Amino acid sequence: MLRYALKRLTSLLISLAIASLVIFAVIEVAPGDPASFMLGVNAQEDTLAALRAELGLDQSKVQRYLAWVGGMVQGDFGTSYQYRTPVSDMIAQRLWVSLPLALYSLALSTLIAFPAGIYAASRRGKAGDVGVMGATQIGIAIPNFWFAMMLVLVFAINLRWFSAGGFAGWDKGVFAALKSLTLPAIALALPQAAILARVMRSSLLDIMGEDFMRTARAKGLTRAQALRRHGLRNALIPVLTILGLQFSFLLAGGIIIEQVFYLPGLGRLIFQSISARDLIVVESVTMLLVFAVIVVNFAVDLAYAAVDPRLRGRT
Amino acid sequence: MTLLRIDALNVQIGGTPILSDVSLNVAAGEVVAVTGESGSGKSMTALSVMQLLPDGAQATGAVTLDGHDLLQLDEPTLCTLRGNTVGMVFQEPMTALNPVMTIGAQVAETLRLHRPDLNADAQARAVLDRVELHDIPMARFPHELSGGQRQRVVIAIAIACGPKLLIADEPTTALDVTTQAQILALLKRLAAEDGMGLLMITHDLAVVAQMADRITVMRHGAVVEHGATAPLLANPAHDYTRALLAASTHRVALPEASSDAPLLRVDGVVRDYALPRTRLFAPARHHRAVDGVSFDIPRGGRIGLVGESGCGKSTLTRAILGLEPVQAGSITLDGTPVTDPSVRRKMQVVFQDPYGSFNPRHRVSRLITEPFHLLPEPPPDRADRIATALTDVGLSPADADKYPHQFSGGQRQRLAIARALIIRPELVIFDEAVSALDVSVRAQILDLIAGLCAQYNLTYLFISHDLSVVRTITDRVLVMQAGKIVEDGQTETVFTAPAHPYTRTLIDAAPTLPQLELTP
Repeated sequence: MLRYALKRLTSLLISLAIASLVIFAVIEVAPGDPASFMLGVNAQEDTLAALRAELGLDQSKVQRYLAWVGGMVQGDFGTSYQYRTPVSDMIAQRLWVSLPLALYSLALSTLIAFPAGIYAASRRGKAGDVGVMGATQIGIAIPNFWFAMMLVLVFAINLRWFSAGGFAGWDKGVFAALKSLTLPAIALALPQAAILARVMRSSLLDIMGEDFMRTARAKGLTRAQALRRHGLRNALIPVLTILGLQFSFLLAGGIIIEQVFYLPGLGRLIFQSISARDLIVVESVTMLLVFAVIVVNFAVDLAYAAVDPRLRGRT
Repeated sequence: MTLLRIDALNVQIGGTPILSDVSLNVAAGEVVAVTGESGSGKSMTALSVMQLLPDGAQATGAVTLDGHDLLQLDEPTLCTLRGNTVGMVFQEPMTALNPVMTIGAQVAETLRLHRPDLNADAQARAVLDRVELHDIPMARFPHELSGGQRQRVVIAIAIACGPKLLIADEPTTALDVTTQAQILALLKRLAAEDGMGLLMITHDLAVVAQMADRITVMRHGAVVEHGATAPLLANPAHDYTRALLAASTHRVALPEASSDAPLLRVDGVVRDYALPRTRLFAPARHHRAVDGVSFDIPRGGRIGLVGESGCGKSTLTRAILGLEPVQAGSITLDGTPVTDPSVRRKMQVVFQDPYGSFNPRHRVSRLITEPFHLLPEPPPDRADRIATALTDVGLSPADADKYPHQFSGGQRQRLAIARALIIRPELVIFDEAVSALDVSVRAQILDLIAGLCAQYNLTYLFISHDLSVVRTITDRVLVMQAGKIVEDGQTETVFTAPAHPYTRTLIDAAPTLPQLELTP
């Protein structure tokens, strides 16, 4: 198990190193000079040079790459070209919105999807199954921004249970903060839950056809007991894969929903920074998201091994 | 006293009759075998007793176990009987256990369910000891055990609560012959010790002859004959039983082998597989799957290769087909290394699974002409070649436009042989080619191969774990153990006077039908 974890960790570090190189290279070849962008087209050549020196843009690429990576390792993501504030502060602020939102919607989607998938699988072909599968079909088909607007219309404008947008901030208390994240979390969670429920159902159905489920029934377990004790854990492996992918998506991919609800999240930060050629922010946020995806994959790998003993011996 | 009485059992699935009027009895301490070919309904009979029929199946009649009419009981009551009064062992030990649960927990689960008064873990250990798994810790997972050990765990689960009836559905079909002998002995011992009734489902008449007190022969969902083992085998009343017995010990008439110029030469072949590294900088360790194997196959030779799973026969086969690099030695066909593309068209192979080895979306004409792409240019008489190939294997030229699903398993194996022979290869490799077939179909395919030998002077390597098949279809046999050829000799000589102890073990472990010579 330890060997497996170490091996996964090594590949995590290698992935990170490669990702940082690729991100740096892509940002480097992207057109646009941040210094001239910041000072406008009429800037004096010597002012530009001074600013470039200040931003470190006059150094060689290798030096700049090393400085960038070295800074990140120490938590220093550089200074935003646009706002002249440390990028790490900007990211931290946004992360406090995006990360709870992602976790919140992931929790919601799991809470909806697992029971729905299990229910549908145990009622295969019957009305309950058809109903759940129909609902998931709709859940996948509906664009989440439209669904988000419907939520706003019903729960914010008509019922006035929630505010239509904006983020209360954690200093207003956990409840207030979570409340302002609830509608966006639901909007994000529902399509994810629909996908997850379908994966859960088909995975369980596959497992129910396995020989060991028959063995379990021959022991005297009821259908439901066999499903719970022998089916679920085996069915979890493909579900974990999807969960991992969904978390990564939710962290960064909430951009549209952030826009609909005026949430100051990572997605909006990266969007604004790209428009403003604030390359250092783009670089850092991208790297952070890559880091998150890779760490989530690592966690999923460990979860696989926890679920499936056959993986533990592998190196 | 009758423990299990099945009386006029009828089972339908969606209106299709699966079982009709099946009746049989099992007394305490008695071993009753239900035998028949695939589709005879023998497994459905077993599942009816467990009341684990597939969804949508409707059973009528009576299945009385220990005084309970199982067809009348509700599901909760049935759950208290399953695993407690009746236990079941399944065919495929590799998949019958939950891969993510330790074997101890799986055995203990049955005990917890039915015998809350016992200390489940201690009792589970005792049961594992009873099935002779003394050295295996309870914390092992199924994937850490061999097939035979896993089947012992399945048996342990089934007998943990001391059931009155044990149902074993093809319990040894997936196992090697020596493991089969051990598992059969174990089942027999457990039944005798506990006075358990044993209802054994198997297609293998030799196993039946060795195990059962009484036999029920089934065909197309109905019982054709039943009776005590010895008299029934010695003097079967029903034509079908007689045909089954004849097919089980079918001997083909092989024409005389014609020539002795070597065609295939395997010389000192070694195949190593790298094992996963245990330490980062230590040299990688290897598993030697094939260890210095040398033999020749003369033109017109019919050579058998036998050995248990893991002995390296599949690796050797792949190496001969040029699909596997070898670390030492050489394999040549007519003096050319088999890895050379020009050799490919001189060798063809027939695989075990007649279902998996055809693309279901292609027509027969396309499937059996697949080897033509090995030729420099396709033959001009394509249609004639297809017609000849199909006629040769006992099918009709009109079958060329059909799809594989329109054929039975036996017919598909004929197609596979047609595909192998259509480019007139110099060497054919039969890799467990008849292992998945019913005995009567197997006999037909063996006859077909013998007939083709007479017609085309085939040279082949016949790989099988089934000794009785190899004995009839080959002139010479190679016995393989742990990557080495331990015996190489004329088939009859090897079978009647084995020189190597391992060969003797194999032959002794294989169940036989001794009474059959008495049958007219």
